[in-house]
Amino acid sequence: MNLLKINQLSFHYPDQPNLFNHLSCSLQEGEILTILGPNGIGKSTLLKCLMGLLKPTAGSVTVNDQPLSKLSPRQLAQWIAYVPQHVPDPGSLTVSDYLVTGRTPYLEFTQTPGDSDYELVQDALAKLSLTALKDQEVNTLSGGQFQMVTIAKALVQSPKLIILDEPTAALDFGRQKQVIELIQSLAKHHFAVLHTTHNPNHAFMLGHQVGLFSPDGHFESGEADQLLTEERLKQTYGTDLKLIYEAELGRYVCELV
Amino acid sequence: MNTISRSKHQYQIIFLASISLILLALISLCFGNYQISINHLYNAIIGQISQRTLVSPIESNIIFSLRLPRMLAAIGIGAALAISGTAYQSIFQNPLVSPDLLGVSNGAAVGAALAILLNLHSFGTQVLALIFGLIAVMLSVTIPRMMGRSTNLTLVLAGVVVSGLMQAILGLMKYLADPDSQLQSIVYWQLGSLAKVTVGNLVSVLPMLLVGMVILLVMRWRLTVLGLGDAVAQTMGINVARERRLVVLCATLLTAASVCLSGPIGWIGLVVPHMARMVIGPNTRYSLPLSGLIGAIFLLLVDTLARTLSAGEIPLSILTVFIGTPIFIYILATKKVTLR
Repeated sequence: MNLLKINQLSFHYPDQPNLFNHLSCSLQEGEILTILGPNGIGKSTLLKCLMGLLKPTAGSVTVNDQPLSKLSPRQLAQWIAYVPQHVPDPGSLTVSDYLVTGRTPYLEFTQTPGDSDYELVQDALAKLSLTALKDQEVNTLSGGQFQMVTIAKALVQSPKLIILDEPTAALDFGRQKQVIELIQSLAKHHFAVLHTTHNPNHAFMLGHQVGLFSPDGHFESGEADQLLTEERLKQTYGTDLKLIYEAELGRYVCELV
Repeated sequence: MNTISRSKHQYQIIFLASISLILLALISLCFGNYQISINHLYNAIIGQISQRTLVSPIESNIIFSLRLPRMLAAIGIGAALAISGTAYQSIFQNPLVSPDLLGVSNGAAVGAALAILLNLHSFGTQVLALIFGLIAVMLSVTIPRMMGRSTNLTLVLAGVVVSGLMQAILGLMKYLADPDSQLQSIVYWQLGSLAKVTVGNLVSVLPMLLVGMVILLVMRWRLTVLGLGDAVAQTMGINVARERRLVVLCATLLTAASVCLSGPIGWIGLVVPHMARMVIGPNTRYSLPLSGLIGAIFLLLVDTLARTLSAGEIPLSILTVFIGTPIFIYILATKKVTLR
């Protein structure tokens, strides 16, 4: 059973050429899919298509073998949590009050979140070592802290699949490592994780599946070590770079030249 | 632990506001051109309940036929406008909108004035006020979309434009109205006053007020999620289009009902939601009910002052602007409002 199956998906914005064409890919529980590609190639757009925020021009997406179009927003939210690249400013809500909104898919129209929902919030904060922030107002957080909080919100949503759009973009070295480790631990706990990144090293660190957009919009997926060759990466980013096998780390390291 | 103690603190604030409202309501029954002592008020209420005559019929009449409906109207309208303002501000993610600034108040006023021109009764008046209120809010929302730039500021500007348009239509109606009867009642009613409230017209708008308030109070927490933005709310599993329509309908219902009852009363829908947020924080789970309570207290206080300060009454809408403007400038100056 495929948790997520993308079948021959194409998309273009009105009056513009196709961003991606006949893109296919699938994801099982416990798997990680790292998507790499140059800026503006359609990575975020692909994620929005998966969340039903944009309507693909051709092809289909199925979640747990059910077509995306047949799922209500609420059912979808119970399956997939999505952390966009740019989260709108939630104002001066406290971190706890902001995180508890992740419980919305489980609450009836007339319900408000209760103690058990706030307990899940505490757990998510503890897991990401953010407990100290829980009563702080969200708009007083730094960019990196806010990014971690948005990831915590996805955990509060307790989905099967977590989609993260450049989750490490605003993070310092330590926090980047923390997010990579979190993704690994989520996969161990049978979550599926789909994320985009501009750092090929993250793909090598995580292993699992990689999806690579080439500059012409062509999409390939496969194992990190096989797919990500020096030649392909050079072509993808249009720059000179080196792939070095680092015996101490037991993986390839990608360096700009 | 801390989260739980925080919500306890918020319930304490709401409790305190409720007690203040009840006390103020009793006080407002005593004050006016004819002062009634607390003792007499107590006797009158006991007498009314036990069907005995404990105070003079004049006092009993003033309390139950004149002041009680007016007090209830002030509470209902104040709460309705403040709740409606909080709901609009959440749903449009814009701290600068309100029933007045979206043109809803003037739209509803056009509907109600049309009803006067057509000699309609109270039900027809309410329906027309609601329809024109909805037309106004839809215009205000559509104009920025047509410009292709939906920002906080364009929505406010569109609201100003629509408000102006509605005022012009209102002017046209006054021009067309029969100067001997209709014109007077349009002009007088448009001043915004609770002086003409009777038990009859209070009861007739009660269903509208109750439906709007109950639905928005039930949605008080979902409004926080909707306030995070359309895309976020959708990925949280909310059917955004449907719930937004429901919120706009209820908020407009509340504005239309209060306009039918008292004419347009400005500023409460803009200022009171900010006051509530300053006291209790931005979570609409708590700020929406508190906003309703503060709105009720504010309007009841202003109305009691309006009929106590001078023998000839000061029109209510004038006083709310005089009091609301400095408060709003203070809120803007302390940067509790961010513009995007």
